Amino acid sequence: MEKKHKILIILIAFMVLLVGQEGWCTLQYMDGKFTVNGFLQSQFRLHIGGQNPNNNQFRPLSEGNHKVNMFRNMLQLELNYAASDTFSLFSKIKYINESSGGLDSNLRQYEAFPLEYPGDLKLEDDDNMAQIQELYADLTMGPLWLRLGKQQVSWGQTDGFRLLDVINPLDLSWRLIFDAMYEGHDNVRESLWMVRANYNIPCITFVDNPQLELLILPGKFVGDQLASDGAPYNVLPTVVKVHEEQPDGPEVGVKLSGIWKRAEITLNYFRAHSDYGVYLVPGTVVFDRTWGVPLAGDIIPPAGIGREDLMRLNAYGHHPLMSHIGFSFNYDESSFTKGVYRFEFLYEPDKPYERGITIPGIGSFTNAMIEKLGTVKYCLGIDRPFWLRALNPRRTFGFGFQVFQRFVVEGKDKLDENIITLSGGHKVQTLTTTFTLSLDTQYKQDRIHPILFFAWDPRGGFWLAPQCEFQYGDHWRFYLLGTWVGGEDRNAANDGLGGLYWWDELMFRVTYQF
Amino acid sequence: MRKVMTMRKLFIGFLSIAFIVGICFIPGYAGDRQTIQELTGGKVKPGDVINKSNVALVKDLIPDGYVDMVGKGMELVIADPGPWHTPGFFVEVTKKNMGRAVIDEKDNLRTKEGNWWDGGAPFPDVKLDDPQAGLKVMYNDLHSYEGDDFTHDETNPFYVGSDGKLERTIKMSWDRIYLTAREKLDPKPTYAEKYKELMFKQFAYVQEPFDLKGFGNLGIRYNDSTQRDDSYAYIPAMRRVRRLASAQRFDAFVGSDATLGDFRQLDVPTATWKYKLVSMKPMLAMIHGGVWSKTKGTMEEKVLPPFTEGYKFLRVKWEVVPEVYGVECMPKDPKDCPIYSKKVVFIAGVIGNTAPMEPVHRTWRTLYSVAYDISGKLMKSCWNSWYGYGDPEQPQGTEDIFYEMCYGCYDNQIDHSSPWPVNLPGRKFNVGFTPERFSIGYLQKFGK
Repeated sequence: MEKKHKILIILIAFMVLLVGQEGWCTLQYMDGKFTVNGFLQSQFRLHIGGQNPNNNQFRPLSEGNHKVNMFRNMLQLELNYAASDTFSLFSKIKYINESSGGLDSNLRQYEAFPLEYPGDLKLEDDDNMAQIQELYADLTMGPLWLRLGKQQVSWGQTDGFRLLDVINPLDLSWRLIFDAMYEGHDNVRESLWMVRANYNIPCITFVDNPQLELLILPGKFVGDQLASDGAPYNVLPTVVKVHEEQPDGPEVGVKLSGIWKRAEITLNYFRAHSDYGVYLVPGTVVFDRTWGVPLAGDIIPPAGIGREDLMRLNAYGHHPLMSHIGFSFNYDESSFTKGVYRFEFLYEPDKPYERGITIPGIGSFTNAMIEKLGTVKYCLGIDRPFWLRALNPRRTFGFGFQVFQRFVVEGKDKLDENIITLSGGHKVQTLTTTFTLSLDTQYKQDRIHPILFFAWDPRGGFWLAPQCEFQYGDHWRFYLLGTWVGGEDRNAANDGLGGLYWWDELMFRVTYQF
Repeated sequence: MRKVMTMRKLFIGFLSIAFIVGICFIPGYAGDRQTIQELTGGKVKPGDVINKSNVALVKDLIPDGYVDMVGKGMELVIADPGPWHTPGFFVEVTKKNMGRAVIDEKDNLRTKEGNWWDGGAPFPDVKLDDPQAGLKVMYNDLHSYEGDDFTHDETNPFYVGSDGKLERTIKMSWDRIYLTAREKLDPKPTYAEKYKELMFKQFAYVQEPFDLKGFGNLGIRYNDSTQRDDSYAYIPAMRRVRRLASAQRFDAFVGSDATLGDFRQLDVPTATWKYKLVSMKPMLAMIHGGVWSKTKGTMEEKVLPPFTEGYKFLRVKWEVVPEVYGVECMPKDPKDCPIYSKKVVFIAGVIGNTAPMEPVHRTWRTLYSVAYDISGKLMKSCWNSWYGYGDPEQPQGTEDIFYEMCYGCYDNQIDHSSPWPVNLPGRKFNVGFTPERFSIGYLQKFGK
């Protein structure tokens, strides 16, 4: 994007602010029917962990560890036109500039916004991106509510983990799922074109709030996006060059929900391509990931003299069609334990995995074919506010605890042979477990909001994220976040938290909202 | 003979005096309206301003929390009582149902037939010496008329520091639909059989600032007031509806000095607290505040009530309310309210200068309350400040409607205030909402 365009956008943004109405309000036009609000934000992330091993393959030994994970400036505008009680239009527009490469000479040029797909409504280059992230119309006709357009849908009850929340893919090119936990996935979920129909079912009387929701996502599939080669958050070895398939849609989902005996229950079904790909490497042999040098395989010939003179391996990302069948419920037990209990369950009868083969006397070949195995995931969560008046006489502490488990319900013999992997070679175990704990409270009329988040993987990994938000007036928001990831098991192939030991960082963010 | 005559006269005189005194103190009989001059021995009259220099003149007519507030800069503008009446159809329903209300063994309100209460004030003639008088006054307040549904399209919680300056503001809306004990709108008294266990549903949603925009809360209150509310919130950052723990009603509401439990002075499932009537007397209150507040538009278009000490304290008219019931409230389980040892709520019986001083015309309107911390010290004072009756912008056809100009709470201990001016043109009653609007689906739709 040319410099003059950047300047123009920034000027427009400031003009919008300057000519807006007095005070803190949304900008309003057309007698309040058309509103504009949003924010300007600057975010800086200081890298305090070790070198990202996934970027080491093409890095000379003399190159130091980078210090800047991110320096991102963003303008976000939300435009809403409420024509009537039954029809409205909404749009969310973003402009982002990523300048980390300019600040840190140890950071190579990388593609900051790698996610692309037909209909993404995006203009970009390596460092800048402008996008209409959401654009939809809401139409209400009696008990039927339709939302048509580019949008996000979030199912499920779980924080951080994706069980039923599988409608939209994630843009993980700049953060992982546990980042800034209380912001959820709003900034990470990629909006897609879809039809969402929500119908209040009138004839069901034994359940309160009975609703049927139907989702249809036509068009090309869009999967999760990981960080690009050389990016600070790259989680794939640079020696692997990924080619992603883009199968055609549509994807379809149905959700039935209601409140029965004061428990909110949902039944969910989503038939869709697997967002998180499985990677096949044709004709490969085992290579040592720590060295990152393939011994054979479908190799990209060296392009010439230069840093990338080591050979790279082609890997093909596949996203097979699969079913997500699940349910969730929550219940407020207000008499004895005074906590909210939430449970989410997912069965994937045809979840795809990478399968290797072993030829005696020759060797083992990883990522050779796709194997589909039934997989179950569930999460049990408890939320319970409590008073600790000695530390905060006017606000409760929020306590949240979750246990998440994933287990493969068939194919145990294949797992035992150690030839089943997922997402680029991570070993799949029969059962994996993760615990999360969160604690937060608020001071000074909620102007100071400290949060502590901790995730623990018993296989030998943890994620610790203390954070705090500060509010000043109606406009200014400041945010601090520390992230420490580590554990005994640092082998990324084991797909545990410990493998992200290099992620450690401190983040500072300032936002001016209007 | 002369001695017998004298004794007879004395006896008749005594009986006469006893009769007159008895009339004045028959439980349920409201007596005459007294003026501010009569109550203060002529030391205060309409038009006077009560401030820190003369608050002692009225210290028996306002709660101690307000004496403290006047001492810190609040001013009361004394006024003559204005017109106020209880809607005619509500009086008729009260008369029709008079005598049918009972309190069951769990402190729930029912009809004699064992069903949930179905309309009107349940105990209009509450007896002052009734051991359950406090509970009955609270049920009268709960069932006082405020429409079978209502909407506030905008209310603005202000956050005001010790220096009187605005720290920040929020813009939010609040809607409610009553599903049982409906008095005016059809279907009545119960909206539908499937809702017979529900008292009301309400929906509060934040419109500004940007980081809270889209936050919505759906609350469901049950007729069985031993049951806690069901509460759901749409969290915009998560794009989903979360179930909230309803047991904690005394956490600060979006950081303000008011908690959920402070709304309407004490907004809790009634049977989970215990109540004692501690006073019934004339008091001063903000009944006809005199400002048709408008919080929408530019700063020039807004019409806010006047304040003193920056935005800390309202400066509006106060008038004598002839009957004010003081009810001392304490949670049955102290864990339900870990921050207050007790709260004293003041509820008006007859208001203004037009309603007949008769039990069925009692309006049962909350005026203010004072809360005390765990150690028994004064902690917080909350208020409902009323504009009065009638919409000056629509003078015909709205005479049954009263308007609340400003709700709020002041933390007496940390000198922090949260007044909530209400946009009165946007306050509407008996809109004709349907229960489906108060749903999880609507939370998602509004929240984006």
